[in-house]
Amino acid sequence: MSGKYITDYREDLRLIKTTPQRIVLVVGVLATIAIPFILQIDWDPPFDYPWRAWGTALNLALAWAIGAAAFNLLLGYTGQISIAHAAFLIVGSMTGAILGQGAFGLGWSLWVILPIAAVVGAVIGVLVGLPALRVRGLYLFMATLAVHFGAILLFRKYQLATTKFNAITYPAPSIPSWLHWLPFINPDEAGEFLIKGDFRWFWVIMPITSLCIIYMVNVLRTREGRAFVAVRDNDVAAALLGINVARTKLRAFAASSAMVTVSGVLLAYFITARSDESWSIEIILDVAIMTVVGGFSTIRGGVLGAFFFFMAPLWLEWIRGWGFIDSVDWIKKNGANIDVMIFGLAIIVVLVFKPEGLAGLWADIKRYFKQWPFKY
Amino acid sequence: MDTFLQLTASGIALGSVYAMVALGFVLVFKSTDVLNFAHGEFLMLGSFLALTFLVEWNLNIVFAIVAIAFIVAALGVALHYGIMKPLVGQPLFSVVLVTIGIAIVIRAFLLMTYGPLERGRILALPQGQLDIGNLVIPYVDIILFLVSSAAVVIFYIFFKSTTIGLQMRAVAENLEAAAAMGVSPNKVFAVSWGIGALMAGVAGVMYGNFTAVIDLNLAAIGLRAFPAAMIGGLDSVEGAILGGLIVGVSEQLAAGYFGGDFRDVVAFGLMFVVLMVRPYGFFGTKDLIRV
Repeated sequence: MSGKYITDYREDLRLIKTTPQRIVLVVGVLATIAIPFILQIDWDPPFDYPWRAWGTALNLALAWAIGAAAFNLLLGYTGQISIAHAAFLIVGSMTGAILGQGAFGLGWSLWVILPIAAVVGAVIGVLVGLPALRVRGLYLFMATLAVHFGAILLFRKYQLATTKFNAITYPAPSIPSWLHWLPFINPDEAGEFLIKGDFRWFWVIMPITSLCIIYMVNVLRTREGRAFVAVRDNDVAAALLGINVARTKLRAFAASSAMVTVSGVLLAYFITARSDESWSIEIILDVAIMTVVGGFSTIRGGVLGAFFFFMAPLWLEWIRGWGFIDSVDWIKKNGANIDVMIFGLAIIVVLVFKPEGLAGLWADIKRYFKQWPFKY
Repeated sequence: MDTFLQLTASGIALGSVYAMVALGFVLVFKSTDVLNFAHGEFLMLGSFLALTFLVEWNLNIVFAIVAIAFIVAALGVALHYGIMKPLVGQPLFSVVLVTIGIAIVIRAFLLMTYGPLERGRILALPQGQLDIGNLVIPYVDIILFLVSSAAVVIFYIFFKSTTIGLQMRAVAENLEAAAAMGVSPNKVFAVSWGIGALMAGVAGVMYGNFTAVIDLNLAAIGLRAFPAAMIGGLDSVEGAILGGLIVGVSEQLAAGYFGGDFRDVVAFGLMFVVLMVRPYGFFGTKDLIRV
């Protein structure tokens, strides 16, 4: 066991308590800053490793990490099974389109839209959470499924009213001109600094994701956060303890929906185009893969799951490129489908053998080293 | 009025398919407490197998239905022994997620085998139509209704008057007491999975004759079992039949009057309203909450 004992409350309140944690934090921050620069280097790694594809996958994973972690906030900590979470990605992309600088938007900048989207998401989240006051468990799961279909219809109607059958496009956001004096901001000939390409987007998405994750981790350390857990464990008992169960549930819905909506805006702007095709019912399956493989009751699980979801296809594709596998015709033809099948099997295997997912695996490894050479 | 009758007629045909799907879904939920998200994929598997059997191999339709029913039922039983059995006692949502995993695997399998292109509907049933006044009822609709009714009736007799049906009801009522009386819950679970999958598979074959195109969106039709089962009450066999008919008719009416986009929304919106007003459906049992 480590010999660190907490002696006062101030110390106990800190997120980072021990020296190893501090070291991990510093290394992590340095690595995070270094990765986009390393990705910029023109370098061919051995074995044709798909180094370049990392940029996009990282950004997608970061943007999705907010959504997946927020899903875990609601499911893992508050115990409310809501499948309507994918619907808030739709809400986010619609907010981005209505307010944004696209052909049919109000012309607001992305930096204004992001906080507004969080508020919109929270308000709609409360509305969607209302059924949670009446039904629970599987019945809530079903009720929120209805919300998902409603959101898809809304998006389809909106798309039909604006861009007809084309996808809704999102123009690249720019840094306002009064901020151009900042270092690393080099405006182009037109005097604009557009956020385009994986490198620049990384510096937008990464800080927002970090903020959202820190926010969620901190919410769970407050009175409200503990109330979430109490409601999950036993809502009748929680009510007897003086927790307002209805308000707690709605707060959890609001917080988590706001985060997912932000994630939806970021995704829409990063991918630059969204259509009703991109928001099918299958998006629920994607969220399921992320949360299950990551581990569906921790914030860390959501983040790990999102990275798994976007990084694993790269690795699988890389493996498929190896000589002897590449020569099999069937694998070549069905590459993407094999990925999907592996994901589906991963869900089953994880839930049968390691229900805590990657986050649980991480905890096991940590415990192993902490208690070495003892087993318990 | 003519439009209304016309839509209602085709709604009843569609609803009878939903009733069959919902029945299998409710059966699995009732005895094993598993909400099977992969139920739509079972249906889709039935439709795609029907493509192979009826369109590619030109087999007799009765033989094809029996063969497909057997294959899908075997798959259901295999799923129980292979995957669901070790999961007994896990939290509710992890079991739901496992069925989502199964759904993903079946989808991927179908994509690999049949490719992403959509296929036309199966034309194995007689294609004429029956004219009653202004009402036009295709033979397919009638056969659909008859087959579904037959399946439902056969199931109902099986469920109410055979030994294994009695055992199924006993396990659903009280698992420990049933086990103490010598009923093997494991066997009952397996049979429930088998019959549940079988219903979905047969419904898939029938629906393949009814739908416009066969592609991976068919799974959404299987998901329609959710609102059907919910409206009737999640643990009620009679409710599933009624719920299926209600969903089918209201969906056809909505699609006829407002446009096809409203199909999903009406089915699930109706379920939403029922859930809010009567959370346990029309026939479901209300469970008590204890600390």
